[in-house]
Amino acid sequence: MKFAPQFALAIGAALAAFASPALAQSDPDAIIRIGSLYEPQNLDNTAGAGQGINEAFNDNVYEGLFRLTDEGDVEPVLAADHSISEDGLTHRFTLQDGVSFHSGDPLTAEDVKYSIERVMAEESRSSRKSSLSTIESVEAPDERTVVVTLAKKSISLPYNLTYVWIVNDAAGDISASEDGTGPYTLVDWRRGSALSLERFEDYWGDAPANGGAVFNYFTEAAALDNALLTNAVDVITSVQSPDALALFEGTDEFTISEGNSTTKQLMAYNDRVAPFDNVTVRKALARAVDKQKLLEAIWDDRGMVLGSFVPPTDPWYEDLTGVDPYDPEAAREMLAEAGYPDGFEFTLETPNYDPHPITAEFLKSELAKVGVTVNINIITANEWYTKVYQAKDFEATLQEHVNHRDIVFYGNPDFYWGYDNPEVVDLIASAEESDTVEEQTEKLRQANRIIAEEAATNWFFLYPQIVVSSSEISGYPLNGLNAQFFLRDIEKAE
Amino acid sequence: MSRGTLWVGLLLVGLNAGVALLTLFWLPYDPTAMAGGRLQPPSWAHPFGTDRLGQDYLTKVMIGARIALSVGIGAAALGGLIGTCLGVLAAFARRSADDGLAATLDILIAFPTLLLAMLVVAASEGASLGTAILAIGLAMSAIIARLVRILTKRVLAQDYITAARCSGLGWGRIVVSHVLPNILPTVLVAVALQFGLAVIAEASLSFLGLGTPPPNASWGQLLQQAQSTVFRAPMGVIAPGLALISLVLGINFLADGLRDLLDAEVDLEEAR
Repeated sequence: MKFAPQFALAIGAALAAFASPALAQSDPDAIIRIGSLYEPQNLDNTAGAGQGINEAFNDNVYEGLFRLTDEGDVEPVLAADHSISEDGLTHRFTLQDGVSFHSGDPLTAEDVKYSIERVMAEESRSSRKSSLSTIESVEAPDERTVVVTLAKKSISLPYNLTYVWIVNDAAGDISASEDGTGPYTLVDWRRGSALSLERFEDYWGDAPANGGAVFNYFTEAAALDNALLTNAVDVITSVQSPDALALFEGTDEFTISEGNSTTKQLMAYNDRVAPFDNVTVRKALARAVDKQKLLEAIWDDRGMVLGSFVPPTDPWYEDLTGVDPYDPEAAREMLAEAGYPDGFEFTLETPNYDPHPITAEFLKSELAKVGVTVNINIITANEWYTKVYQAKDFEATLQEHVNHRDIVFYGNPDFYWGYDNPEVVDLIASAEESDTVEEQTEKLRQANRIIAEEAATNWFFLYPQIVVSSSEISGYPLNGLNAQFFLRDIEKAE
Repeated sequence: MSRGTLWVGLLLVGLNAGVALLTLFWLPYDPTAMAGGRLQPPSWAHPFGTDRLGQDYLTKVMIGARIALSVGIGAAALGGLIGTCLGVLAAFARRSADDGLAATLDILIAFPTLLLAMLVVAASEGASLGTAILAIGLAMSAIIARLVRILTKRVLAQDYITAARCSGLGWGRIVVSHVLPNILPTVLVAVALQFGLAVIAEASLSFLGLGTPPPNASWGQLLQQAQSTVFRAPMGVIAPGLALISLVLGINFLADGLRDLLDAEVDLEEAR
């Protein structure tokens, strides 16, 4: 459809007539209009609200003791001070002074105790519940101090606490209202359409660079793109395909930014079954696939090729694409060496939604070149869950893994892909009990190197995180880790 | 008008069938070869352009014709066979059995074809050409069975059947020599109409990712894949879309023309 870019230009020109004279000045009271595909189911992150609530509320409405920054670092927010006992089991947090909730209640240690226990509670459906299971007790010895006692050492405690909202203990049910300490308060939530936030005037920290925000929810990517084109929103938080970008390219009315997501496209082998229990076979298949070409097919020139499971926003990232570079000649030799000079045949369980079928087709053609026959079996997401994830009844499968810091899956021999290396299991378990973050990082880096050397899985590429906005706004986060969308630094031209 | 539609139908179906047959012997490119760049516009080398993997799109659309026709013919044959048997059985069965069967058929018909087909695919290990044929064929058989039951009952009420019965003819002989010849033209037209619907059902199943697995792309799957690239490469949607329309339109014209030719009494709405 050729008309679309011209159409965009026409609107751009109309806008420019109003906007350009004042581009340099930003409006401190501007309301940022955000287009998103992820409407929350409710407003409580322990009640199955979905990723949309993290996008709208994390660090905007609710703050934690710590925050996961857009670069993947952990930094203190409501915790002014953090000390750890000799044995590493007692963590003492001192709270920031002068913080009050939106309702006017001051922040106390009891609120923090309440908030942590809320996530750990039996009825909590928080996806982070299990990562807090090392917590034995939370005490509030005085108004400003919180003491967390652990069953075993956990260097990731501050990181895990970035997922815990500090909620007023008098707030009660927060599935349709809020009482946080963040720079924005909830004004209105119209289900199925929009959620509005407004600047909190008594915020304890620096005032945000704008007056508030409205999240407009769409159910379809095309409608989302169109909303930005027609200036109904200022920014869209995720672009699902590179081809939609054609609408926004070639005009200075829109800014296209690319960050790193944590979504990894991969082919997981069942490492328990032959021939995938053989490291040489796995390495051969890693070398047989032109990952760059696959990435280009799906994401054009965006995203990045992976040599392992760890993305650049995890602290233990290392570029390991050189371990098994694309080399079909070497792949054939390695297969012969492993006892498969004529190749072999396997079934690839392929989820029926994009980009898996096209990836499967690509693999079939790539692996045919080294004599390996791929039988594509299309399955639904449900079948994937029961057959592959639960019953582990498969040879190889395609999947995308979206979580941040999820290398821990390789430390669990019972995980669906069945990778079992005692050294890696030990490194991952002991990393958690490290005394320092450096030690933890070093151990996980080692584990990452081992899984890459052993080609535990065939990692293909990392999805790009694409945000498109009107060029009038700036200062929004690019990586969107944990689906977060920090509002406080976004500026809009007057 | 009847002869005209028959000829247009024959032409369109013949064209698709010709392409489908041709793919058995010759294709412009190897369907798995990544012969061109990503999403190339139409050119002499690639008349329909290329897809995201750089594969020739004309090749894919041609293979799609083969798949559409295989599933269409397979499902129509299966549905026609099962439907006719069931329908005749119901017509001959005792009152209570007949009522039960008729009610079951009505319930089956109330299920959308696509939903029924999805159930069959879900019950089997993964989707394939076979499951698509089975699924759509089964859904179709209920519609054919209902029609055959009514037609058979009508034939059975005729005087010459009573005469045949009196002369001691078994019900097997009655079916073969009296019932089938009488209902066949109508059933054929109904099956032909169902054939067109089967092609659409297959495309819908594939669109949902439940049809034939890649790389044997069916039109529905091509349409699904092209969805995200529709602005950059509109040919990805136009080519399989036109192909699908040409085949289904052709089949419907053919069935229409056939109906007039055979003077068959199929109510179009009824057969649907």
